[in-house]
Amino acid sequence: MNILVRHPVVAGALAFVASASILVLANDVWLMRLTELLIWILFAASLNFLISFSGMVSFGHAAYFGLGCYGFALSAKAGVPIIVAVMIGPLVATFAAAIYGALCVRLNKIYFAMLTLACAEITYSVIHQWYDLTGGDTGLTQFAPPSLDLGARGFALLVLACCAGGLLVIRLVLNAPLGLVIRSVGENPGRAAALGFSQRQVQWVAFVIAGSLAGVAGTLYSAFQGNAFPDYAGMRFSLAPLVMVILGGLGSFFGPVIGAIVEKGLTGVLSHYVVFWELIMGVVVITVTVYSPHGFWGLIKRVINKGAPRG
Amino acid sequence: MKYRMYVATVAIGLSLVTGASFAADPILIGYVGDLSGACGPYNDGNLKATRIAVDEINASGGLLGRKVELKVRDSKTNPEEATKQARESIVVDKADILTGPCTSSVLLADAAVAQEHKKLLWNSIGTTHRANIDFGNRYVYQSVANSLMEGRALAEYAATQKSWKRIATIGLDYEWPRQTIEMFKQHLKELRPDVQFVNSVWPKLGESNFGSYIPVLLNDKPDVVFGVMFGSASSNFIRQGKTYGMFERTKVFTYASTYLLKALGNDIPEGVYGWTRSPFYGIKSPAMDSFVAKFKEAHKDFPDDESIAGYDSMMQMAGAIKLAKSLDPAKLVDALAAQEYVGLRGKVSVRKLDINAYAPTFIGVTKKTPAYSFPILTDLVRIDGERVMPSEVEVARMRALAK
Repeated sequence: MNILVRHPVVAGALAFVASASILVLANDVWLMRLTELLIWILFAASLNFLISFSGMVSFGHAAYFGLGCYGFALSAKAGVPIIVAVMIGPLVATFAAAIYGALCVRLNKIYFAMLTLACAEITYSVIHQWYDLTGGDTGLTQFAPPSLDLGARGFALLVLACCAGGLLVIRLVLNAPLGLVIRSVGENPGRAAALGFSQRQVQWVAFVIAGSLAGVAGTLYSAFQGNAFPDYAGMRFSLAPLVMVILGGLGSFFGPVIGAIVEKGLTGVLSHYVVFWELIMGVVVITVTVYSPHGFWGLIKRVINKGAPRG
Repeated sequence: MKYRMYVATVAIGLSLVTGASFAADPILIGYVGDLSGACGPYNDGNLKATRIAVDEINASGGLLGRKVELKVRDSKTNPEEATKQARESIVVDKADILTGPCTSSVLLADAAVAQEHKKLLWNSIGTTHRANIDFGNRYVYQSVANSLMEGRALAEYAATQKSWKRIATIGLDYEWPRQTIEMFKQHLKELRPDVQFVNSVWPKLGESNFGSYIPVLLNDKPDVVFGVMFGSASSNFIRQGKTYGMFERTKVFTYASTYLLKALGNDIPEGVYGWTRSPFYGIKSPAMDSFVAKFKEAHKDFPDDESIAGYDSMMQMAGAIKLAKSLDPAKLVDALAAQEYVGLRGKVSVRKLDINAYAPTFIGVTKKTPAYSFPILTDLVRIDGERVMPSEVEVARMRALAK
């Protein structure tokens, strides 16, 4: 166990191999569920990067997810080769994050959150009402071969690679000098400014990174579902990763992974047996925020550390 | 040890017995419908009738020697949820064939999943023609008139109303109203070049306050207001229209399904022009009488149009399965087209080119009658699908445009 903690690279590689083997062995039902889960992990991790490490709580992260979807779907529909279309999706999201980000980082805290929400609502409205381009409420379907023609298993492995890649990027950024600056601005903007760092610039960079990763998740989601709907840029898709981050545990790197597993697992099971499952989900979220502010990841860490000597 | 042997023997014996009584797995119909959300009431009537049909089919020995089972999932009038539920229905429940979508977006989402997994999906509520005509999806059977046919049928009717010269339109801002109004305009201009279209307004889906739209419509002094909306939007439009004196100042021509007439009751004025898809009161046949009696007995209510269409299409599909002796989508499509089906709506045949039924549209005028507690459409005109179906050339053109 100690080796794994001391060598995160080894631990990560092991986790990747283990996940890949699960995907290779999984049956159709689980393959479908795990693929979706992996996309959500990537999406939640990109939001977590903003919230936990950059000190920016975004209420409109779905904008970049949705633009990733539509960037991919519209370019595939226009006849762009699929391999290019999957790159256009994240690019559109990155571009939008660069513009919206420049606007949003001018403000702090709740004002920042409201601005991100406003940007997401603008995106949603445009997608919803630009009927001739996006099909409005009808959405886009049948623009690309299902699962990008890779087969369900091949596609699941691609998603795993993207998800692992995304997490790796976040990890590398966090450990690099850039990450230290991002974290210091997140923790204490005043002090960081006194050290000569421009708060806005640093936050803007973090915002663009998070937006582009959300765009990757969006593109994958659109390819997985075989469709794009305005909903993907809407409120529900902004809240879901937020709930995952909170459930998993604020301030931790692996929080969103656990959070996504818990959220998807709970909704999957509950919605199958209970009509008012959203009510139960609400109670769970409230309980976790009140009794375990560091979420499920915090709980797991507490259990592991119980036996270990302190200090 | 002996005890264990005994239990094992009984267990094996039991499994053999039960195995024998269900010699073959049932045919599983995945009903992925909008049971909650805006479409809830429409799907409710549809599902009730589909259940009646399934019970009848099973009572007469099932299909291909197998029992028919319905496994219901709620797509919540939400295309993303529909994609998920349709996929789970096929992969987890092992559905052989799908039905249930209501809104155009849910229908399109389900259609994509059906094609991906090569299962047939039949639709008896939504009217979009994008899946079966534009995309040429060979896994979708459209059993009601699509918005293209409906728009044209309404234009045929409007063309016979000589006093209708200035027409204003109002439609909720999404696929069905947009397509229907577009087709209505196009076709009516061909039939009656003297007709002039004045204002059109597009409230968004979910709008409940029409106070800012009705005066705009009335401003242009139209002879008739053509409205394409459904559910609570329709009832609000009609109730609020009364307070603006809309029904005194102009005629109104709108979608008036049985569900709406029942829900509004005497709140809908007499003399409103309305259309609908399969009114139980407008089709006289022994089959219809017996279905209405059966439905009333089970649910203490008259069946909606969606109920008639649900029952009718389920029975039509059962006939096709018998004829095809298979659940293979391509064979089922052949059987649907070859079959001479006479159901609640009379004879409804299917064109193979776009897997679309030659389904009728009914148009009439609201009037109170002693027979029912709610006004119904009277002086009904039935416009059959044969009159308004897009030609093969048009279908080819639409497919080329969609590419």
